[in-house]
Amino acid sequence: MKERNTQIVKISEISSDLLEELVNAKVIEFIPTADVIFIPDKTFANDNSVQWMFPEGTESFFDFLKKSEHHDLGTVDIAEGNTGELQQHHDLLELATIIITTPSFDVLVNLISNYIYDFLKIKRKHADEVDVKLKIVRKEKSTTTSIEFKGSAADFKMVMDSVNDKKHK
Amino acid sequence: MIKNINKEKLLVRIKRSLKTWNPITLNTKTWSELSSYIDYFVDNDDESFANELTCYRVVFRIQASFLHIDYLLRNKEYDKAWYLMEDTTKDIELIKGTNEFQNQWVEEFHINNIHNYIHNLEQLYPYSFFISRDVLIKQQVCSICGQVRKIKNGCEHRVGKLYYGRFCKSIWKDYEVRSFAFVQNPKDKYIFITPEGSKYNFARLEWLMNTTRNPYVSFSIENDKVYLPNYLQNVKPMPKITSCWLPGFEPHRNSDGNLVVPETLILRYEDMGKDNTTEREKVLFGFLQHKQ
Repeated sequence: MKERNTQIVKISEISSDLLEELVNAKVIEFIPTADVIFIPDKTFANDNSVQWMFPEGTESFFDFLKKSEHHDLGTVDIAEGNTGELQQHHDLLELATIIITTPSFDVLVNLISNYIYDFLKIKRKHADEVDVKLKIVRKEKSTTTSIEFKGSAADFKMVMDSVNDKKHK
Repeated sequence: MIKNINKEKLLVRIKRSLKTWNPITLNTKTWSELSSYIDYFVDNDDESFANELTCYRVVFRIQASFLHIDYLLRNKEYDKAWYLMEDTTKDIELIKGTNEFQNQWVEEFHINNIHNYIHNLEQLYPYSFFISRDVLIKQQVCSICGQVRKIKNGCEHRVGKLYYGRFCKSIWKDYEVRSFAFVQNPKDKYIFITPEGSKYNFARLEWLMNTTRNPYVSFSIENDKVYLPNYLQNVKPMPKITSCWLPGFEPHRNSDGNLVVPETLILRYEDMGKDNTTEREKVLFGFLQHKQ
């Protein structure tokens, strides 16, 4: 039986502008103006130089969300420039960090949930056999919240929906 | 030189071969001719049909691999069978990710049966630790057009999709292997670890191969227990093993108390975009000819 990691949802408020940070670091030239934006994660090479990487599979994840553009989700874009790909071969579905600026958080969670379902179907694995890791940055008028999920694919939708419900109570 | 191919007749020939089960009787002539047919349809601007034929070519490979895995296991060539199982799993996932994939194929061409069989076999293997790698890929190019790969502003080709009868891959140009880790559940289990001087205990696989001589007979595993079809229930029970190591060949530890593991680790060329289809098919053709 596969040993499971404890499921974690970490919610925190962030004060910095992640997109501006990318421009300042010369990763991208301009800030994309879409409603849903994929951003690379900061990591370090062996010589300690900073690298900006998208996790493996971001291409298909981006295409998947792009297909749903304008259907309640809004426009989708990616902050791609001086970026690369990070391949970590552990059995974890690691999805790219997403910034969302519209109120369609629930639509995004539904779509990600569908993407995970398709992934499991191809792998012929049960949802409780695969862990998912992703971060959604929710930008609202006065606050920016980072929601990090790392846990079983089986719990993803339920946990993220509850995060959304709490927000609206 | 191929001239005036009747697509309908070709499809009938291919499907007739791929639908066979218990036993699988692959039409090796059709399979060996497929690459020429693919080239023919690409040259004649029928990319869609060329792509469909490429999918059938992969199914041929999956089925031939299934037969070869069984052969290798019967001959106690467990490592070779393991590598082939990993390659076949990748082939199954590859074909399922194409736009040309048709859902009925999983039953029609027995893809699910083979996927299940491999998944169950994996659980009977004693391998439990694998190497997982962490690679930063700074630049990669598209195998179809050679352009630098970008998600948004690059070429329109997508990894794993078919173009002109070929799978699109990423070829690594600038990359850095950052670390290797010992893990129990890597994404692909190709690199298992055999500490120096140790040998794995394959008793459970050996038992299965002696029990179900027919690979088409499905079995299932739940809570580490193998469930065989009813008519095989009375066979000798599966041996209970307490360790994945063969008694007397357990791994030894050095003076610091660490396992002595091989110093060289292999990064497969296939994972870096190299196409090894021809070499793999050559081995499978050789096996089928030998079998016939």
